[in-house]
Amino acid sequence: MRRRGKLNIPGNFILIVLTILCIVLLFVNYSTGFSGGPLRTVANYLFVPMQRGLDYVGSRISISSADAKSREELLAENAALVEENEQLRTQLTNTQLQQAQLDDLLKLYEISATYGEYPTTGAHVIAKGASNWYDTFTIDKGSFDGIKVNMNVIASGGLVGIVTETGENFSIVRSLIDDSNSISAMIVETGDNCIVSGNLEMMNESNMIELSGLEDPDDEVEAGNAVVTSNISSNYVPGLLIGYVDSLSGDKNDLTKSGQITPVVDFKHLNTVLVITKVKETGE
Amino acid sequence: MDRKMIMKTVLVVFGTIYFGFIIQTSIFNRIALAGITPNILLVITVAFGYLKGRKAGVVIGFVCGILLDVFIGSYFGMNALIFIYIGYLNGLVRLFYFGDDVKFPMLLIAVSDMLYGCIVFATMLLMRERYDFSFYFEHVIVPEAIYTVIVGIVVYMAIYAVIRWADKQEKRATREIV
Repeated sequence: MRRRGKLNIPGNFILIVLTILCIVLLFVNYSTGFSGGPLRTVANYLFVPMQRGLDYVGSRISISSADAKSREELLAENAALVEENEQLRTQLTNTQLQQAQLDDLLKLYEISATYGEYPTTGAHVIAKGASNWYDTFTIDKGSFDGIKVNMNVIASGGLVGIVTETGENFSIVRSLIDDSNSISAMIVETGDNCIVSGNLEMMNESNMIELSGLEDPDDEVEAGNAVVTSNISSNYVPGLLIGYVDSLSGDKNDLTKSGQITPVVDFKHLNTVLVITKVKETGE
Repeated sequence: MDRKMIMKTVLVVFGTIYFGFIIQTSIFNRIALAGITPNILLVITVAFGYLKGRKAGVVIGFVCGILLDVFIGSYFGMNALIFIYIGYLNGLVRLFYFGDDVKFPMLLIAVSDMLYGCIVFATMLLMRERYDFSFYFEHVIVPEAIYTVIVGIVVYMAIYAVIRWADKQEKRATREIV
């Protein structure tokens, strides 16, 4: 016989107690938004340093594997690069010309609301993939660095998501493509409001996110129009680029339209993000 | 002596969960196949439930689930609730069939992971009216189960070895007292 001492509690009892505890936690989470509390401090000191270290090692490994190339490979690569460089230089001149043209056109369109005007701070993505059903990731800055819940997160020219939890040295970001996410958005070209929501199914199938509730009686919105966060959104600062309209179709009620948006951010390869250190105040 | 043994067990268990979670979020997300990562915490819950019984399954399932909840950040308590029952059910299976081969636990991991997927789908259905089960089954549930089983073999073997080692230590400790 194994000696178990006083610790002889029946398994069924533990099961019932923990089940009740979980249900209570779910209700508390639903009613007050509690999620973790002291457990986050534990996570902060136990998991985050290790994740940060592994992330660092991981990024070093991907660099050093690039080092290990033979001389012939390097020479061949160099020749190819020189050629590419020439091509790129000509392309660059063309692009600069086009850019100047584009700037003029943008001025005409009056799209001045870019995210450049918001103060931001950079952060590394140190962990993701806790589940295949939710799209959240951990970044290496937290309340000590001034990060607060509901701050918006952007990367490579577009909206990535929103901070949902902060620990002392880490924060959890729910990405735009998470199935439970929905944002009040606006079509830049027409100013019409709509709802953009993450959709696991669409994301899996075609890397798109869902657009719905668009009121567009005159059929002005077309594919390729830019979608940004709207000024009436409660948590997102206005004017952050989400993506471009891919397709649209009328809803059954004949009043609104829904469709798909191609996001500007590559969500599969996020390494660094910018956090906008300004929380939207709505006076609520 | 007894207390020392309990401390050791707790350390071993938490070490396993700790490294399992770190591997899942920091290493496997870099080598995710088709955007899917294996569910290592589920493997840990299944392994302890099956190898050590219902009580261990329930407690370890709870710890793993809460850990996931902290890092997922929505519906706090959901994963813990699902994991408790996965641990419990695997402990129940142990009462009916227990063998030393690795094939049966693989089946358990596959079934448990699919069960987990189906329950998460059901909550999504309730919360946000997603009806296309076949899509999620084909694109998330099955790939995750396959990937989890492949990685799970290694994790299960490691846990099996650790538990055997711990049992041996315990036996030796009791013998010394006698």
